[in-house]
Amino acid sequence: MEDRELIQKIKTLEYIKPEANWVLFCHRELMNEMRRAAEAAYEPKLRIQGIRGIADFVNNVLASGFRLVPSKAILTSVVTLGMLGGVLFSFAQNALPGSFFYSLKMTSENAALWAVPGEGNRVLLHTKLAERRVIELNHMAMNAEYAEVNAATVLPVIEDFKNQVLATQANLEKLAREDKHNAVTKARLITQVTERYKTSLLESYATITDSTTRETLREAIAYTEEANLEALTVIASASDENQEFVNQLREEVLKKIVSLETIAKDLEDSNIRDQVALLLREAEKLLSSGTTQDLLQALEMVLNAGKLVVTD
Amino acid sequence: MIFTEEQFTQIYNDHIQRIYRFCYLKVSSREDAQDITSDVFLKFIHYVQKREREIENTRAFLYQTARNLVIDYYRRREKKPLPLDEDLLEKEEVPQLESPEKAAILFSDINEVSNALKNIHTDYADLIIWRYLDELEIPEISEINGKSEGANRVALSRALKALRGELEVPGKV
Repeated sequence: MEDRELIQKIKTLEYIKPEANWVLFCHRELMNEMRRAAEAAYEPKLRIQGIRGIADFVNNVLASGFRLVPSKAILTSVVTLGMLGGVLFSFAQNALPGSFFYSLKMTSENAALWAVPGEGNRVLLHTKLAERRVIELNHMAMNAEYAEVNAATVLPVIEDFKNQVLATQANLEKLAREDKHNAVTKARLITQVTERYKTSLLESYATITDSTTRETLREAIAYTEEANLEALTVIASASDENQEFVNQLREEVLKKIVSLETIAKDLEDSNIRDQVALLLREAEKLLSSGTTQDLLQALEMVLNAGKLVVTD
Repeated sequence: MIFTEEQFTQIYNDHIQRIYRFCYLKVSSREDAQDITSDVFLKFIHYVQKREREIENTRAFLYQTARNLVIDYYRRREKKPLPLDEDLLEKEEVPQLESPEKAAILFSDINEVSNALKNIHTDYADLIIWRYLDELEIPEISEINGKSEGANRVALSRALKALRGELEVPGKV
């Protein structure tokens, strides 16, 4: 057996993958463990360091006021304040809505969004920020402290999640026009994270009882599905891409057709109902033809049908 | 070292598949592979939070931990690596291919190579997984197993030979 043939055989092991559900479950458990560990050891330690930092700062200013030349005193103060800022910033990154540090977290996120260069990096950042919102939401929905989930606290988190997902999608679209290869890489990541978002949002949905919050959550789930479709479309449009993604997109479109067919039956306006039914029938026909081009066209029809359903 | 949940999530997403696959190929059950993989990441979290020390190469750290945990697993259970059972690699773990024939060929190749890796020396199996499956460079492999680059190059060539022998005449190596 030639080396090349042997290595090719070894490469087949790439198909060994963990179950998606387990990956999500394991991630969630590890995040909980991280929070537990952080609550037990990391935050008090930081608090002590923060208090020490403030004390040191005061001591330094008081003690050095007469000894240091003004420029050194200013420099010392600036460095100490910078360190203090660093400690506060670290605090803020794990802050939850309702805490003092949360506004600092949001400010730092906005600053990061403003500063990040390039569509590709923006896609990544929006994805990360959406993930943060999902984690916060899940934590609030599951944690006893937030058992009585307050709509005023939760709704802004869901709204921000929706904005981040929309921005991810918009930036991915732009990136696909400018740099196809980079867009495909980012789209692959989006297909992974959106699956995780959806599972997590559904978990929160099962826990939350407030009707307004549940409605907003449903919208957030729909946004997640749209972003996933957009990502799959970007991958499927790249001619050199794996058939696996084309199949995945076909399955997603089919699922969407089935779900829209069910909804369309109950539409009040018969005109819209007929239009939706026509679009879905055509989409189904295109889907059965098997080419990627037809698949993308079917997806467009399904999305248009979805828009009609929403307007009814 | 302080890291945020997002940073951890990124590390988790980047490495979960490879670490799981590594563990899966080393132990004889999916459940055990899952347990070991989650322990790897748990140890990583604790290490980062307690030691407050920078991990220079996260991937090397995760593989080292996985390797040590697999050794512990066999010590604890007094088990020796077993060849993969027929049904160990469940078919849902491999993607749906265009035709059932292609899927069957792929499935058979995966089984064949997995079993062959079980039958060669464990250090050789590690090298093959890292170099040819996970595409790690030799210096990075040296960082994981603590051997010199030269020693790893020689061992890698022997590992390929052993695997080839095992695939051609099963049970001989």
